[in-house]
Amino acid sequence: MASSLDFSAGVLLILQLVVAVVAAYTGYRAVVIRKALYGKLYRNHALGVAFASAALIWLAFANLAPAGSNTSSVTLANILGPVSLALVFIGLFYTVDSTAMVGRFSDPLLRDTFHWSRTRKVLWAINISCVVLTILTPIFFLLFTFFLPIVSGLLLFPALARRTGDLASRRHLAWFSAFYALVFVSTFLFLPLSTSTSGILVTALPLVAAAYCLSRSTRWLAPVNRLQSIRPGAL
Amino acid sequence: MASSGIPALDILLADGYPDKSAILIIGPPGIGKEALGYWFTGSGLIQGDFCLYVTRLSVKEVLQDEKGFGVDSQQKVPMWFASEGGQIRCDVNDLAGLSYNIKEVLKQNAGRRIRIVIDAISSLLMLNQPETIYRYLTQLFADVKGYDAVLLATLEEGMHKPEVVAAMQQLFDGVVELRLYEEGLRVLPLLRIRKMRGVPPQPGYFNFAFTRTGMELTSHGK
Repeated sequence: MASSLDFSAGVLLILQLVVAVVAAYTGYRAVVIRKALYGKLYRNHALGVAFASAALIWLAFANLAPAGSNTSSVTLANILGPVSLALVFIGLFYTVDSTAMVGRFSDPLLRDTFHWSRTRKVLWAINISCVVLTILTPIFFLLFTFFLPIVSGLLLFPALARRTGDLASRRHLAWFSAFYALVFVSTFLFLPLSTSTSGILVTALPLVAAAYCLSRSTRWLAPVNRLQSIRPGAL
Repeated sequence: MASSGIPALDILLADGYPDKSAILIIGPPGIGKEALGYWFTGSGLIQGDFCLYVTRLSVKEVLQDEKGFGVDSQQKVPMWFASEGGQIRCDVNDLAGLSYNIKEVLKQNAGRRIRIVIDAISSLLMLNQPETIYRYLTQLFADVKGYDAVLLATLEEGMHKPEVVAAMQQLFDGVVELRLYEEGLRVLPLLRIRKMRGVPPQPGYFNFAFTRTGMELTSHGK
């Protein structure tokens, strides 16, 4: 029994590390691209992708820990508490918001999908209020804070992807939609399955896939060319 | 020659963009292509040229973006063809109307030096067959070059198929590329003059950075 638990815990740790490495590289890549851009909206969007990477690492380590164990992950989750989780989802909502703003510009007709320029103000107000209220009554508002960015992302990204005329942006949005869907699945599964280590392993798998989707979406964040092709000898 | 409004770029272009020319600025979204249009227009307004800015955005959005690049054109403003807030409404679905309005403006300012910035080519390409836009631009350039005018247009990299981008580059007299390049773990924004009428081919790439006073250029690799 103990060795079975050790094995599961080992597999879980490997999965967590895979998610962390992929998400950390993706976040780094987003920050580097942000540094090279000058348009405010696009810089914000790249920052949003970096936030999504950070959120993914947080979910992998703070949310997933072997059941009944007293690992550093559990301690981390306990220390950081619901407020930090709420902040993670604020980060995810920032990502949704910045993506929506950029998505509008890639639509040749500049359509304001779901009247986002107005809707965002209301949603931001709700989001901030929820974070504040989470400190007082964690469970209810925490759930709301979670569903708001994820659901708005899941509704918005496919609509933006359909409307954009930009081939790169469409691919970025498609992978980003998959990322949000997998985070949703993982966190949704976490609620009933978190009582057993094997259940947590099942929860971790969508996060691994989410990390892959996030890295693929960042590939289409901006077209980056290879420097070798511009060396004088190659011209 | 028409000054680009950026001293460092003027040096690179041997005094600015050629007279009676159509220039294409190509690069990914957010790299600062539009800023070249802002400085070009700003320089023209200071010199007393007639300036026309054609955009699918609203005037308010363009002015906000301009401020982000340190360009403040509140004192002297160009004529706007914009989706909102301009003298004439820019409808990217109405190619004929757009062409007619540009021609009318050219006629009305026939005796003056004219600068035109078009920040809607990518939208036009997305909404129409590329061949339609090639023909449309060929005709537009012929009309513009009948006057003392320089036209500068922006095109989004990554939004269109490579063959479309290559064909667009052929149509223009000059092409300035602003692109992101990977160097190790870094991503660098680099500028290259891909072609420019009257200027010998330049193989060099330049690091660029936007400052409050324009653009700083340094040769890449030095």
